[in-house]
Amino acid sequence: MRNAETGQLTLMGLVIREIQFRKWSFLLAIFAVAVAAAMIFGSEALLRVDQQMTERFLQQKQLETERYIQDHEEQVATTGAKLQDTVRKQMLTLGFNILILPMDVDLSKLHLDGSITATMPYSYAEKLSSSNIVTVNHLLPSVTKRVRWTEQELDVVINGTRGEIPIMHRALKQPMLDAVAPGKMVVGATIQQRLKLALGQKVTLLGREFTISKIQPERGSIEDMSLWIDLAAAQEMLGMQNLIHAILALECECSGDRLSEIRREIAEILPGTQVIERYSQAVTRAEARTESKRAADEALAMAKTDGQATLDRERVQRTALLQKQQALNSMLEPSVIVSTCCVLAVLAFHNFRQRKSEIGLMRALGLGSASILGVFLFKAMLIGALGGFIGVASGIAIIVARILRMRPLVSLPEIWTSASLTAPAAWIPILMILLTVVASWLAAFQAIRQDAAIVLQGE
Amino acid sequence: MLLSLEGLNKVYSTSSTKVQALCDVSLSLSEGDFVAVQGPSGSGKSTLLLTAGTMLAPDSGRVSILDETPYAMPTNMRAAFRAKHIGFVFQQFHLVPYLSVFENIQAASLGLPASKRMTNSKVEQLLEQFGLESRSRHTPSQLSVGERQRCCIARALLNDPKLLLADEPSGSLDESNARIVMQELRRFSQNGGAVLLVTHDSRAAQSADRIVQMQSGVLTC
Repeated sequence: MRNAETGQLTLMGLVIREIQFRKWSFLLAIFAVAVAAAMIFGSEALLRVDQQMTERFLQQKQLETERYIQDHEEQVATTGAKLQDTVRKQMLTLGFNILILPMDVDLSKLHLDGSITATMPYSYAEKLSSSNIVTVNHLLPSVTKRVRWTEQELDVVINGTRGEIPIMHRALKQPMLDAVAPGKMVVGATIQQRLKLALGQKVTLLGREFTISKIQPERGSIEDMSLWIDLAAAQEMLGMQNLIHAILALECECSGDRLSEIRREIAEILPGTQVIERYSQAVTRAEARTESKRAADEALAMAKTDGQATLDRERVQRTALLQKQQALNSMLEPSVIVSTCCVLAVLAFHNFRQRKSEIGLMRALGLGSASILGVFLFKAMLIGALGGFIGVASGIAIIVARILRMRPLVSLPEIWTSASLTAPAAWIPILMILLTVVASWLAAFQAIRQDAAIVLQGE
Repeated sequence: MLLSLEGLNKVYSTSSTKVQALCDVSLSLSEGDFVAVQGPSGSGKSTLLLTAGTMLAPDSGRVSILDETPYAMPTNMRAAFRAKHIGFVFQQFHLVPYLSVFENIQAASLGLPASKRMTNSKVEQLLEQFGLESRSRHTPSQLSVGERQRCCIARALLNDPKLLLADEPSGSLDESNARIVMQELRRFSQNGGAVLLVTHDSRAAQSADRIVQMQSGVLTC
């Protein structure tokens, strides 16, 4: 307050004394500046931090999505393979797609009661299997006949079947249908219900004993009134040694126009036979298998699309949020500056009015305009600097608290550097000094323009 | 000649009225003079004092102090001239409320260059001279009216001015304090300074060597 060497009063000392005397208005001015600085720094820093956080969040989200898609790809591949296999097997249980029958079989009778009147030699099946046929993948010779199950007083369709005959020129495939073992019986759903049969139960069919090994689920067709036993037993019981009624041929890809191709190929190998597409499930099966693959691919594509869409949505939302924040800042910052300027100008004018007599005296004591201006502006700079630093310090505390809350995601020094928070922390106090000087300028200018003579005469 | 006022005129104008505060005023003070200007309120006494004190430029006429014409100087130079050569004593004291008595007296040096400012020993000497040693750390609000005025005179004398301008210095004081103040002014003039006192109080005016009357801006002997 005084010159350290001479102990003389200085202008700076005068300012400090005046601040001590009117400390509340000084503190109020500092508070106004500090609030403004904190708001400007806070909004600026929050925007920068949020921009950084958004970048990091989106990068992380991108990685998560990619990881999810990668995991999903593997999952879809595994599940898809399982699904395809399951579908393949499930489709088989629906029935056989191609039926090779003797030419003179009455199809209308077959469709009406499931029985086949004509026969063909068992060797046809062997001939077909040893041929170069390419349209058929699996061959199952069978006998089918409607009989009276005398022991149970019930009409049933007996199917005698055997395991798949391998097609010789192909590599062996996994059999699509399990053969019914000798002495075992598979029964249709209606038969089981009528006779209240149970798995493992022994039954007698036309004098021969069988054990029920499987009960077919209800299918709503003639199969519900059918039972399956091994081919040899059926041929024996029906008096059809070395004869068969049909060959069930499984063609995995037979759909649409390929039926005519199959017919042509089979006619060349087995003249005197006819080929019918016994069940539409054949197409369904192929379609289902294609569908299962398509569904898996679609699921994967959807996972990718969903992941990307989520990411894009997040990016759009966050960009919109940042834009809103920027728009708010672009309004907030000028508003804060203008309102703080007004508050400071009012306080400066109030201070000027309080010091009119003092200013008049200074004039009388020989102080020039520059000195009087200096007294006012030095005080303004002090307010700006202190308020600016306090405000920025408060803003930093708020930002640090916010960053610390997000600590698992980012570290404080890292986000501080990447968001370039040092720059606003440096320029905001300077801005606040300029702001207070500008706001106080009018009052200071009034002070130097004041007619000291009027004041000293007691106005 | 220490102070020479020649043919000063000053008119205060408002939108509706004009007041002739100084009308062809001429007055001279030499070293050792103690002149009182007496007149009623509004007669132009304070205007004369401030004009003589280089604070209020006349509309016309010439002010010369120590053979210098301060109104011809640039503002800052005139301020420095004022700080060096003129001391003011006001009826309202115009003490700085947040400075101590010591600092209020010191404040008179603020208008001087740092190298020419008075030392603290000079301040202490004035404190002793005006009986304010025990009050040196007090602020004006803690002083009696008489002490305030003594502080005001001490401040006016710090820079060893040649001219002391006093505007109703005893106007707010009791008789005892008024007498002390007048004694100090007289002592100043006796030490070679010139005092121009404006007052409406005839008893205060009696302390001066010469009394001039002022009425409606016109000075009469």
